[in-house]
Amino acid sequence: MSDNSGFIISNEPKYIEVDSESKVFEASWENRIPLMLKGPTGSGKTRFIEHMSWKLKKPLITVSCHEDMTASDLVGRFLLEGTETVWKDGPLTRAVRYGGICYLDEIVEARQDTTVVIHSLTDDRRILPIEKTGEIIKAHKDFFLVISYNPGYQSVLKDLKESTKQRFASINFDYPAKDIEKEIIILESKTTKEIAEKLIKVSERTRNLKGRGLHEGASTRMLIAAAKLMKSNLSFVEACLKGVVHPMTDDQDVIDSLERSIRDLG
Amino acid sequence: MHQGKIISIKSFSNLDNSVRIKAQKFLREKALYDWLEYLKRIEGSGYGKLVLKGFSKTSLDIIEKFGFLPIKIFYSTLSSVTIKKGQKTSYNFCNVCSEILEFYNSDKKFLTWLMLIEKMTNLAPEALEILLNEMSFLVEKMNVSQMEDWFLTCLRASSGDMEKRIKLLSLKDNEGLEWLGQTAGIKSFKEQENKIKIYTTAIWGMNVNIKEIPITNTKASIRRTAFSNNFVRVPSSYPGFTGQLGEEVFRAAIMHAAAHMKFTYKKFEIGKLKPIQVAIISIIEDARVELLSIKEFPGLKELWIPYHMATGESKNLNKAYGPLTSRTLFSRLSRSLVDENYVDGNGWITRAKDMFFKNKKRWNDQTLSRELGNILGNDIGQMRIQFNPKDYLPDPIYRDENSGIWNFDNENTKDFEELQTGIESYQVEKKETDDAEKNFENSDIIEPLAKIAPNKVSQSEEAEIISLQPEFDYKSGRENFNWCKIKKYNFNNKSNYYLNNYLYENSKIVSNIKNLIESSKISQPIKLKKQQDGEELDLDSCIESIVDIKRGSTPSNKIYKKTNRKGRDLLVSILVDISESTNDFIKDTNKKIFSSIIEATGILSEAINKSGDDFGLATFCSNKRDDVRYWKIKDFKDKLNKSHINKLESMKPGFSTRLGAAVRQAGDELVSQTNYRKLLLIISDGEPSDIDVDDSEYLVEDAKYAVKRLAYNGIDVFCVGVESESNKNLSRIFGNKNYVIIKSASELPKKLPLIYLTLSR
Repeated sequence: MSDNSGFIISNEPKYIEVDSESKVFEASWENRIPLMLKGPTGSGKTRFIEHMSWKLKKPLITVSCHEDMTASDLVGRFLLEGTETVWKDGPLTRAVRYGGICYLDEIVEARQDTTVVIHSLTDDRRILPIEKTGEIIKAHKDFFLVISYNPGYQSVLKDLKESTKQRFASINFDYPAKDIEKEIIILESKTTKEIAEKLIKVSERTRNLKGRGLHEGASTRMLIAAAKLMKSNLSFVEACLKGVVHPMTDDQDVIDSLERSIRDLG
Repeated sequence: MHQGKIISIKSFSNLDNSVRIKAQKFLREKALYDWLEYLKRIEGSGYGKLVLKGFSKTSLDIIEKFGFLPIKIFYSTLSSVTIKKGQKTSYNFCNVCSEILEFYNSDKKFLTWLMLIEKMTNLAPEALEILLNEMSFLVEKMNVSQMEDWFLTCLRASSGDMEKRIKLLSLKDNEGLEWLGQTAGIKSFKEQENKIKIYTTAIWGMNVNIKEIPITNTKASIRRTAFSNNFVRVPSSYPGFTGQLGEEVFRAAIMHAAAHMKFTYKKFEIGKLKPIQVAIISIIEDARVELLSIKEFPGLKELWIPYHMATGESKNLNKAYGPLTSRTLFSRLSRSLVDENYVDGNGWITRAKDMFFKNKKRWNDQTLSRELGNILGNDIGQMRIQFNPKDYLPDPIYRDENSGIWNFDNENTKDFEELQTGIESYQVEKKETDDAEKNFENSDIIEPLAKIAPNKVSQSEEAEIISLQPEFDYKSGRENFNWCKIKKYNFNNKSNYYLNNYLYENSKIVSNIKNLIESSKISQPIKLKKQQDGEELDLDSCIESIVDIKRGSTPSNKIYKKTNRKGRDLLVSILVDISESTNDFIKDTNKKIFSSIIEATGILSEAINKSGDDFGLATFCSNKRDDVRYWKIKDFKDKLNKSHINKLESMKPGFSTRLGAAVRQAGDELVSQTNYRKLLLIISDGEPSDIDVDDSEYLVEDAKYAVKRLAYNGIDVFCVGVESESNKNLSRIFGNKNYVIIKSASELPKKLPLIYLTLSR
């Protein structure tokens, strides 16, 4: 394929604005300033980028980063095809060459010697040197780099280098305000207003326990999952237990206490 | 008709008339004959008049309830008791027997009880009197086999120690009581404490400090919870509640107290109110906060309602509850206010309910309680209901005794001493817990004298020698054997919950650090690529090499990969210097270095504990060589709990720093552990000194020697120098790489855990 048209999203991924994120995104896009989406898991980062790509009608190439990822996974490598050696572009190179949004999800998981490849793309140069082929690709005008990052697990071992962080503009994602979260739950799961409100109360209980029994409060995603379970005939309490409480903790006291507080919601 | 020698009741002239009449009423023919036979036997065996008296009365009680069958065993038990303990105890036994009859509905159960008494007489005669005296308490709480379990456990636990045995059996020992509680299946608070705390935090987002009061304390008010700010005192059990109600009563109690904490935003002033008005206003306020809670959490209604004494089951309530007393009236009022469906015929109560529910819009406002209370209080005056503040306890049982919502600090309180049943003892505790809100340094704990005579510390002076340690004399180059006495001092057990609260507030930091520690524990395998040798081929490198060959370049030979498993088997011992120098203020602040050290140690301990690593914690200071004070707060294998935190908090700075001795002591504890890596982490200002040593180099050199010894034994030593003037001594004692200076103690809570993290990697 000599373009990325296969990566354009055709159906609208619904996204409910929380705090003028799209405005910031569009401003960054216009200036091609690389963007960092920061926030806890399940707070809407991926959905947001899908939505914006759809809106701008640009291809979206997503890379889920992990510890074993090497620079070749991003840039590309020679493959042996029969007796020939053929260069295959990696996802990053595709985006750079043909234009498109390259979304590096959970970039902190990758090792720092891997993430350093993006440096030349994230300053004025906008070039990607490929040492294996000797090419220096100048980024397509529609190339745009977005990364996501979960600051909750900040670690001296796994963190972005200061020099990397400072190349990006940032949008913070957090759990949305109650009414917006309610809307999102209703939209995604097609549940009722009453159930959505009750689910918000459940998430408040979990957020009260953040750091005091739970690592994190329940994400919006979990609440949506619980709502969907209810649509398939699980009771409120059971859906909350299976969709929210049990995945978050193994501590029996915490599970029992949360179950009790969920039952108290009536 | 029975043949043989005729015994007549008349021959027993000492019998009470009532007994005589009763016997003649209940006993016919054979039974009467047999009964008289028993009397004769008693007379004949010389047991004494009291025994005869006791038997004659009690046996009739037994016969009345169960018939004649149990009498044989009754007699046998009676004989044993008399023989072992004499007629007085025997008489007592008979009385107790009559009393406890009402607890048993089957003769079989009664017989087993008799047999237990016989057992008790045989196995622990010296305690029999005591047991008989508390028998109705015991019988009320448990069945016979449970009693037997408890009895035998006490015997086993005291094996031969008569004093201890008496103590246990007389319920004067906390340990004994705990077993009693456990045996009786009384739900104890301890089992539920953790869950209830988490639950309360989940519901309200607040931290509640809970203190348990043991069940021996029989003061009436201590059978209720009490609270002040965010401290709650609960009785350790609510006897009489079993099954579902027994399980939930603590949750009901704590949630009620929490409801006050949330919705009673200001204490009521006593002003000119009379006790009865205070009681009524409190009832209304109780209802108000409960209803507000129920609005947000409807399930709480189901939790609280079952405990109301006014069950609403009878139509004619006045009749159902007997004569109108304040107790019953107030119970009914309590129920009416929280349960719209409960209907009460009493005019005063109906009026209260109407007014309360008409003002639903004002439920957010606590002054409503006072207003309505005033009105109702005036009304009740005209009803001439007897109200005795001394006896008054709010109903239902899970509710608090009201001291938490009233401001008692003015002259009027004299009238309320009775209402405040038990408040005196609570006030003492309250003052201590109030202190926790003041700045740690300003609390009463550090006596004013400490400023004049810096070496005076108010810790308990009882001490036990736990070991003798040598000391190195650098001038002679020799270690002096058994030179220092390491002494173990008692902990001051009072807690202000200061440190507990601090850790709760900083739980996010603790959590983050714990995550860091966990993630550094890398026991997952790490793949190392591009290796010159290894178990597998690194395909990427292989391909690169082939490519290079095809292009005519030299291929790399690093085409293997291997997995490296980094294990982690680390044991750390934290040793904290609490000498007088930590009593200074941090520059430009009014916080003491000591506080920061304690807080930092608290945070680090919590984080390490949560990450699952084992660790030990001790503090030290010294007062010359034969008084090196060492407080072992936490053993390696213990899980960190509240008492450890309390012990840490109870430490007070003072005296000197004989570092070498403490290092040796901590080293001894570490050396016997089997972990691969052992680390002694010292928090000190790094200036060893003591008042019996003039030479400033002596103790520095000794510390250096001690540290070297530990290294020789495979123990790493690292020092966090807090507010050290210079690094000269630190680098001498610990080596260049094994110390770090924290310039200002206020940074310690943040930095200490990161230091641990770096060291533990």
